[in-house]
Amino acid sequence: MATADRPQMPKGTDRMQPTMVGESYTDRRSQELLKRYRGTRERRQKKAEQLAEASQYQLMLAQFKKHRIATVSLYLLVILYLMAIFASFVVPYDTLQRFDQFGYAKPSQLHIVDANGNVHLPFIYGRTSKLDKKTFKYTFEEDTSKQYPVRLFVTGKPYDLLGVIPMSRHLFGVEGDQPFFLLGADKLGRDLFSRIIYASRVSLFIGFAGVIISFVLGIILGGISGYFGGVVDTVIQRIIEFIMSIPQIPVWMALSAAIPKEWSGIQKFFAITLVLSFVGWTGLARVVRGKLISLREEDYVIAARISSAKPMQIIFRHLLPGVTSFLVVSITLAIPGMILGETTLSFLGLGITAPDVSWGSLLQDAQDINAIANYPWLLAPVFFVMLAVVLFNFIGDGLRDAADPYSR
Amino acid sequence: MNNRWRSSTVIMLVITVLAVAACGPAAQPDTSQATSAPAAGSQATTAPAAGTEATAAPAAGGEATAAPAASTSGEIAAPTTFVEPPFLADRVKAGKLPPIEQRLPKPPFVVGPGVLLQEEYMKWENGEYGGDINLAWQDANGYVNIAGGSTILRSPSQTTAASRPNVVSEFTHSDDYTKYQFKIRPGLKWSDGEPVTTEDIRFTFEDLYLNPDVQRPWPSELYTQGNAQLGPAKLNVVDDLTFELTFSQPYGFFIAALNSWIPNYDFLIKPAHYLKQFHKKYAKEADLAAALQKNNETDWVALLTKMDVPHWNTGEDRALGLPTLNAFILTEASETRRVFERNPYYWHVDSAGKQLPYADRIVTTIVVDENAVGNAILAGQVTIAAGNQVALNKMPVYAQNAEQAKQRSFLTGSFNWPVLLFLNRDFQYEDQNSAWQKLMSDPEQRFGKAIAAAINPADINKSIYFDLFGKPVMYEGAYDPNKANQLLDQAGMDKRDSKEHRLGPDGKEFIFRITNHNAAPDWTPVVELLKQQLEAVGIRVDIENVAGTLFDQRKTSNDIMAAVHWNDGSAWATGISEDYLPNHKGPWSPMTWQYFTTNGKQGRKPPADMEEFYKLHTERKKYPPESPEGQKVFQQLMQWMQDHYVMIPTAGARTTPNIVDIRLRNLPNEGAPFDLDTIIDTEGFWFAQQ
Amino acid sequence: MGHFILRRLLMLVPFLFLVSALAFIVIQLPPGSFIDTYRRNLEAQGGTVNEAQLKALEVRYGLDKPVIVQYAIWTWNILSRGDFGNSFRYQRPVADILWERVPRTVGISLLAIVFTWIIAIPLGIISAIKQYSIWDYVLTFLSFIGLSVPAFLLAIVLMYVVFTQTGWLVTGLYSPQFQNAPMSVAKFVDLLKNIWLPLLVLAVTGAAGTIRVLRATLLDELQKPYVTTARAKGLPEWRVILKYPVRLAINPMISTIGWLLPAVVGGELVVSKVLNLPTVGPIILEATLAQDMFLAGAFVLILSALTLIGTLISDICLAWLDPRIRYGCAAHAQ
Repeated sequence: MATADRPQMPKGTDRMQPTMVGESYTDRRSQELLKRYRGTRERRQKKAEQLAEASQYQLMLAQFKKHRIATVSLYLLVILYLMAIFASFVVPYDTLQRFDQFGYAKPSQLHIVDANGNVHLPFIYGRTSKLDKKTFKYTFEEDTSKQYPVRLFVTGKPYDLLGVIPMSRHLFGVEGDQPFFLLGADKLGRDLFSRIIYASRVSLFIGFAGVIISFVLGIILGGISGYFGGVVDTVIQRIIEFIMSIPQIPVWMALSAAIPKEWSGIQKFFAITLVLSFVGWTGLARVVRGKLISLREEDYVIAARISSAKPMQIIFRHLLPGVTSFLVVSITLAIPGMILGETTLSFLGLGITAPDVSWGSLLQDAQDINAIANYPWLLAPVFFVMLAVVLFNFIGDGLRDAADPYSR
Repeated sequence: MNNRWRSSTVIMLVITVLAVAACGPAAQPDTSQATSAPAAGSQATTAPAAGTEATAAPAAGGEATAAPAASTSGEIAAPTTFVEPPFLADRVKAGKLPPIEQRLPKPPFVVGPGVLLQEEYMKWENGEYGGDINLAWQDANGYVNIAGGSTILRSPSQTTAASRPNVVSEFTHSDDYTKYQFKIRPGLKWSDGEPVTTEDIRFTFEDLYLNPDVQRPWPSELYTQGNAQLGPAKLNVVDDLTFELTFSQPYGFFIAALNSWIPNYDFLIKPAHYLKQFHKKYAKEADLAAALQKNNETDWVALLTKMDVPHWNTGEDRALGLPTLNAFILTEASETRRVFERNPYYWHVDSAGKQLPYADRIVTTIVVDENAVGNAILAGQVTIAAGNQVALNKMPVYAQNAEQAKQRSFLTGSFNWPVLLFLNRDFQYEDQNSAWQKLMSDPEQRFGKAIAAAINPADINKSIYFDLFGKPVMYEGAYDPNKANQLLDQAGMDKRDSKEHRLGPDGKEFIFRITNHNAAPDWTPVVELLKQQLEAVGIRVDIENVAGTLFDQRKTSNDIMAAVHWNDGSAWATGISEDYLPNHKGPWSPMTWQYFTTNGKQGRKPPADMEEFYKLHTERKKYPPESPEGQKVFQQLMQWMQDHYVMIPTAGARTTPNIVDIRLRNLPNEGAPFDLDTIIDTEGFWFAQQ
Repeated sequence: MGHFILRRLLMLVPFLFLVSALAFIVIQLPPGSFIDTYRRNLEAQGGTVNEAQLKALEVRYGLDKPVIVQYAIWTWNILSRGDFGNSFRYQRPVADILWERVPRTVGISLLAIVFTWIIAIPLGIISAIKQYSIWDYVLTFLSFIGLSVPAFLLAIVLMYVVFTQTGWLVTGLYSPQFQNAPMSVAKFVDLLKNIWLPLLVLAVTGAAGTIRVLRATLLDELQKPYVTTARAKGLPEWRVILKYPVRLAINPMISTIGWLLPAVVGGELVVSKVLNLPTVGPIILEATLAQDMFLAGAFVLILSALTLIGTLISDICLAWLDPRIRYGCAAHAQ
């Protein structure tokens, strides 16, 4: 039958094609159905081919994308890290910039409507502070006579983006000499928001650095232990148990207290990373070992051994890829532990100390009732800590679901 | 020139005011002559010993036969009858304690207006017995070693001029201040009832300090002029209650030591009857062995040292059972609590016949974290909090909570000066080419002057101390960044590098390194602000944060260029504290001090201008600090230190809040000069009923 | 089984030695010694420092000897006399301090663990059963908060909230007037008024992880065919869930008991510092910083011992619960 001269129905209609003269219903119907199923089957076949050729990572990626919360978390985390890297651009002030008259200032209030009821683009009023000698509190009064516009891409204090590119525009800021405190100011009149974003450099990257060290140690020792078994395994296991049985916080404290205070910020950063990962690698090693033990009896490993591959080759080329998915998950879930550990240490005064900032050291200002009662915005770093930890956990969950073949 | 002249005038005025205030009430005893025979040519500050015959009056309201005579504390009338504290009444009735008339010495020390603190700073009211003083401290000893302290002589507040005999009832000295005579109060007893006699002093000298086995180090106050090279005092016991001390050189400064709560009484008098049981010479073998075992010690010298608790440690549990002369004695030492009860044999009374202290007990809760102290104050669990316990920046929540917690707060001055910046003149002294030495040896002291001009105390005051601190204690009005720039240019630091930092006088990179060991939480912010202010005049500043222990090591090895530290400046004039010395707080010349104290064997030979300092230092020791000669020398000393810019204040004179229970009386007034008096005068505090 | 336990117990002792040696070395790492801390405190109070006296003190404490010798002496004292030495800071035998504080620490930690389970198990089960419902989301959200907020900050914020709402400030385990008093009804009530805060904080932060683990394992189990079978056979729903899947899901929790004890004791360290609890926490933090060696070393020793014993117990429990481990199947859990 010639289909060319059959009148075309609008696309997407479920209606039957009109029967042409001389065509039976069944013939025509069967033609339609055949075409439909052939298309679907073709699509399915194409997809199956894709799946068959897809590498493990592409599979994981596809599965991961299905986990909506995890993908959103990933985007948010990337934004957080980008903000940390480009901190000098994102924030209006740097960590040491003081505004003498604004100690313990509340977050600036953004106005859109001025005193007369007119609507403008966002602005703030100037503020003056007064000390109440009875209660020892500073009160801030807004001066409604002058408006200071808050704009994006404002010219501010010059800086070097990433340390190389001289720039002077910031993401947002105030035109004029009034400071704009998104999250309030600390005792010396320094903008808390700026300090938090600069601090995220330390807190977020300590997690990474520490985890990388744990990762390397964990893979090597866990791999050797899991593959060789026997005496080597027992010895390494005992070492792991030994390290895990030491109470963490006292050891952290003692090691941190041993860091000479005159080291520079960067040196201390790395020293603390070492301290944190000193205990952290054991978890990873155990995961690797457990997996390797279950995998090493697999046929393909035996085949590799028979074909006289060297043990290191076997471990790295054959066994580890099977473990990678677990490793990735473990690493992602280990980073929050590092972040919290660094926060605790800095809070105790042992980690990052002034003038460098980290979330934990910023929280030192918020640790007594006076701060919470009168300057609650000083608690803002907690939310960033919580955000980072939660995001990492969601991503880790998503990765775990993606990597686990049994969840499909 | 103007600044120096003005500030030295201020110092003179301050000293004069203090001296007048202190000397006022004490004017009388100098004129009234004692009945005891003074030694030929001696000056007496004795008070009449007679006139307290009324001790035999029975407790049941008996009549006094003798008329109230002039008391031992000057013009306050001694009571003739005494009132038993209700806290001890049960024990007296049961026969465990003798009644009060037999516990007190004849004469007792009478406390009244102007005795513990000058009248303009405290309104004294005779008080009522009863009450517990509750405290929260991080340290078992912190409060009580000061609050319960007893000195040989007692001057009001932190002065040393208006001495009333305290532990002793008579005190005389030779004109040239080489011989001192003391008479212990007749009837004075230790807290366990044993009488205090010269045997205690003899034991201290011969069996502790001079004993070759024990070899207890001599307290520096007992060395002639405080200098170990000149030898210690020689003791001469005259009778049961009278003794003499002789020094090889005039040592008028010794009077300050006798008034100062820093050495307290126990540098001179220790409870011999108690300590003998731990001393090999006196204890029986078996008893000593038992004591050693009980205390888990193997060596009797170690045991003796352990049981001879210095007054700094009277809160430790090894002080249980130690007889003292303090107002409160330790009766309970548990892990989180110390309880001190009134000393039944304390010899201070008020004019109404009540035995001090008014409060019955001091109960200290020991906390580990400093925030816990703040929480305890908020929860209303603390009766008194002063000094470093009350951080200024926590005041808002204390003030908000005061009504609910039934507290009030008042501001006083502080015993400590604000944080000072010390410049170490000895740093790199062995290096011929040292740029720092070049700056330090500049006869015009331009670098030091420039630093003083670059520091802005008003800014630091406003940013960190709520604008509450007063004027800077030295170099008031020195802030002038233009002048600082000029001076630095003149000092040879006019060239700058690419980052606009000044190069040193040798043309090389110059880093001004400040060492900070953050012994109090406000030091770090102050140092950060200092850095900003100094960098504003072009000096490159490097802040070196060290742990406290490392700071001491650096000090000893002369590795510190500049440091921040507080010190007890407000008490220098009166001689209570001497920590302006070159190695005591922030070091400003540790190596010449070493030379001075080892008599030339080690350290750096002082250059000509430092020689002058040591000459003044030695000269000062000859006279009592608040005598006219002593004041003159002190003023010269302060002038020397100012002229040489050895320490530069970063903020104004400290004001500090004191938080107390609203029922408490006999507290210092608002604006009193020393927060320390809120602690030291505890014996006089009493609870008024609501 | 017995063989397994015996082997583990034998390993305990050398382990403890190694741990204590490590603790000693680490505590000694910062420059200086306790004598410097002592001098510092003295100066801070305005006292004069007498160098000769300090030197004598140093000799008395044995701090002039090399670290190895000090450690050897200390270990020998522990083994031969049970004498842990004296704390420099508190001038009391360490054993006394241990005896006072460790039982309290263990007590609070165990209570916290019990509370954690009381909260976590029902919530985890609900979260798994009602997957993707509003309950699940709320509980997941709360458990993330519990997981991510540092425990000490939660403690401070709660302390403040209660203080402003009720005027009651938690300043320790007991109010000062009850501290040394004998136990009575009033004292017990006072204890309750104070202890709820640390328990709540520790339970919330501990429950978070447990809830999620429980939820994940339970979800896995509920997919299995035997659950469908049980339902098809007409068992009531609660029986279907509780009889097998929950028991299996609790397995990983048991295996982590061993690590839970030191985690709770450790996490409790900073919380107890902030809340001024008379437990191990504040003391050990301070002792480490002040280099009070014997005290800090002894505490590390005790905590490690607790950890090792806890691990041992958890391994025994796991072996008892899970027959696969007993019979050494290849897929045994790590």
